[in-house]
Amino acid sequence: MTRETNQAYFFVAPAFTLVTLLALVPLIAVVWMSLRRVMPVFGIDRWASFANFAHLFSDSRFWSSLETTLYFAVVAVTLEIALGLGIALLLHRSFRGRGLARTAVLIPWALPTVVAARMWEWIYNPDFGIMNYLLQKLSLTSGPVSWLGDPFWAIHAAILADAWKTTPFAALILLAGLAAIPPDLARAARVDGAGSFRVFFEITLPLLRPALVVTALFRFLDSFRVFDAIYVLTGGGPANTTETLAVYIYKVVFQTLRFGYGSAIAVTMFLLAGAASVLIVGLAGRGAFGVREG
Amino acid sequence: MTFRRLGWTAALLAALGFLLAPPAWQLITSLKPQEELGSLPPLLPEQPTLAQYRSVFEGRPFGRYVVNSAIVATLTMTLAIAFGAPAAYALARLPLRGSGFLLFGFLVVAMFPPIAIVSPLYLGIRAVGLRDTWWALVAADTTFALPLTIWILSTFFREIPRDLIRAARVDGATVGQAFFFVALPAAAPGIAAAAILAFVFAWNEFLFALIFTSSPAAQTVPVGIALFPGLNEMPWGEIAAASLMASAPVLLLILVFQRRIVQGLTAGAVKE
Amino acid sequence: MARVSLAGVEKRYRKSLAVRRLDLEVRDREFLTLLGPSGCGKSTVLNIVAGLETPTTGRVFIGDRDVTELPPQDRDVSMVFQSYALYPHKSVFENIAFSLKLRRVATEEIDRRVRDVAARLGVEALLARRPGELSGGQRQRVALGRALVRKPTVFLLDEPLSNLDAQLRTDTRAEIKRLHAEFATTTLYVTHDQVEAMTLSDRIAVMKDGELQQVGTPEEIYRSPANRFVAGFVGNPGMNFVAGRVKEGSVHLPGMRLRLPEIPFSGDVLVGIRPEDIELAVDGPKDGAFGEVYAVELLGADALVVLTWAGTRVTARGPSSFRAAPGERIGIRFSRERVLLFNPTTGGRVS
Repeated sequence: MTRETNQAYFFVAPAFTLVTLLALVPLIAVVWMSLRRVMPVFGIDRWASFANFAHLFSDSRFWSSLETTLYFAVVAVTLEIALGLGIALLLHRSFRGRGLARTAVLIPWALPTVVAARMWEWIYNPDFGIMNYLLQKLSLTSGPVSWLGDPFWAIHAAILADAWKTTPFAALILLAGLAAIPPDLARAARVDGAGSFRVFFEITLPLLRPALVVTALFRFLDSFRVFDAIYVLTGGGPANTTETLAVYIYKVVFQTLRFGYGSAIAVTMFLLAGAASVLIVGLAGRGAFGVREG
Repeated sequence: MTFRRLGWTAALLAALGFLLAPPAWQLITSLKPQEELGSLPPLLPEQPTLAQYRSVFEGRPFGRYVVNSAIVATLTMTLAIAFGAPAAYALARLPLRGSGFLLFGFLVVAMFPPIAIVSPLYLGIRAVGLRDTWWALVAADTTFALPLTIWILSTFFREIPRDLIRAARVDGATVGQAFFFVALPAAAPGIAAAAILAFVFAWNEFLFALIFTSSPAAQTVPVGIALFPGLNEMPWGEIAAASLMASAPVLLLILVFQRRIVQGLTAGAVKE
Repeated sequence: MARVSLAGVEKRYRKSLAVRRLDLEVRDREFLTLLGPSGCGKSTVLNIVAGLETPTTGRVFIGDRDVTELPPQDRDVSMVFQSYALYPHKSVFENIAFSLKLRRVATEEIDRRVRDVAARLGVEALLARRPGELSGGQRQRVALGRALVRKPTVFLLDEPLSNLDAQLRTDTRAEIKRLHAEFATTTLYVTHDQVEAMTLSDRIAVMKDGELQQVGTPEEIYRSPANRFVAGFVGNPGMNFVAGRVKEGSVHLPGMRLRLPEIPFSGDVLVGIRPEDIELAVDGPKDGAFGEVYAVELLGADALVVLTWAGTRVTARGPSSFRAAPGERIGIRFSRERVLLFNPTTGGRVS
């Protein structure tokens, strides 16, 4: 048995080495740097203990980017789950062309983020964008709205663009969750006297809980770390209104060249993400992972 | 009864419309000549042209970007499977102490904001002189594609009946031979799914490509698109055309492999 | 309590016809079993009665009400599913109470009725548990409880015993019979197991490939099957079929001639005889029909003797003391009244 265990280590070795080298080591380096003052351009690299973290507390830009990030994540995830659940329910029924529909649903997911961002940027264009054109045609707005330039609208425009791209992922996970529910349960409920609404709320939704938790968790973690879409769409937004934590870190590190402080923000971000995950899984409650059937 | 059916169909069409309208609009935009871009109406091009597509390549090494992307994505896909499959198999079927610890480790890697570790990675890559090369991207992309790859593959490996492996061992195969000749073929659908997902991930990857490359020697398509803004205006028509060309390979993949992709994405996410 | 009538019911899917023109009536308080092999359409018929599927043509009546367009919740039927379909996230109590809760029954009454039914089925100790914590037999009884608590007009059961092991199956079978005697609800039962059908039913409806073959009491099905399929499906071990010839008013088989009254034709015929109706003569007259022993299976209470005869293998029931070596020649005789004749091409019975 031990010989097999040793052989097993060989199996894992390549992946383990690569991940250690390119992920774990940088990760440790980040934690290391967060405790130092590092500015390679000026050749500065000295111990600073928790000075960076102390600075974090008084950095109003940090707090506002945190607030932006949380707002973004919560709204985006809610939107994605709602839309994703709707699409999953639609795709759950069997109909002709279902495969084609699924392919269509995958398209937003398949596009590179940059491509999707530029696409939405064009749609949001205040002068030539189709969004303003349609809204004015439908008399919903009186004049052109600068979606990405307006401090209020920018974050919501970004949320829509991001949700559009990631809803397919949520839809697929939830679809798999729906498929795992034995169809006899819905039938039994209908014979028992439940109409479609009751069946959905009393049977489908409770049994979908594990899938919903998984979706919420993954999507929250991804939204919390969002960078690509925001960077390309708004670069941090009109007056930093769309500046999420990731974008802030990028600016701190690559524009003001403060590697140490940037790392400190990153470590904080990671800890916050971990705490939020625990919260989400905890809120979902016991029985969220695996309810055996009768 | 038919009223309900109509409702469902309407909802489905609305959902599909929401998802497909933006890229469709991008397609229409890409076919408009420069003069028609600034005016709405009309929605559809009066003189559809491929001029935008041609000008994408003018003064811009777009073709080179595509080549770079293709190479990086293919290499990433290959390495992700080459490294990930054995690891996933070991985690799923071999007696491995600390497998929980390893899985947790992979999960942590997946949770850390890439933007954060980009800085030490950048410093490291610059130090070994791999800046602006394919290998820097391949290494980074593979590393971050591995958690998902291993997750998917281990689920598929776990579904292979233990007796199949045992039969091979009794027949005289070593652990490695059992893995290569029995387990791998049996998990072929999962491998296809994981490979496709790794390719898509590498092709679409932006952050590392942006930071680790500085010239057309290694810049990939997403970076190319982000670099489009010229000195004055944004060439929206060209951007649209470039966007579609950038997405073509991936779109083709999902058209052909839709089922596999769905399999891979949902594997292990929901316990049956 | 009322009768269930299916008039001209047909169910067609995109590529296949699941149920052919079906006219069937389940009488008030009757226990009728739909018996047939997998895929014969019996479950589809049950789903149509429940309202889970609508027939392509035809009407369904419960009592005098035309329920064809009604959804399941308005039909006042209850159903036990093959997979039990217990709600895994609800407790046993909540599972049984669900239908009453939907009908806005008062809480105290729900409590009383659920506990009542649970006690009757012996599961009152399990009321707080979840289905995942129960054994197969316990889940089955909870499923029965859920269906019974409503005192419905019609009681539908879809192969409820097929997931139980042999001993539990026999016990639960007896329990179902007792419950029917006690509650006297009109019951429609679906199964592929002919033992269940024979023991539980007032009448049996045999189906094959979506088509009704015969409806009758167990006795009628057994003794007077309408065709070769019904004859061969019911009875264990199954009826034997041998090719024979009718000439001049008697049936000719290798080594045997049977004089049978009123044979209206002559030609090839398929002779059916049940194993228990074959007499074996170890040392009898050395003329007549002889079979060669293929195998002897001792069952304890009696023995099954498989013989090669007339170009085919024939099974007969013999006494528990029967001993013979393979290859031995044994005399065969039929109880004449038990012989059934079938048309070899259509399978219909001729006499």
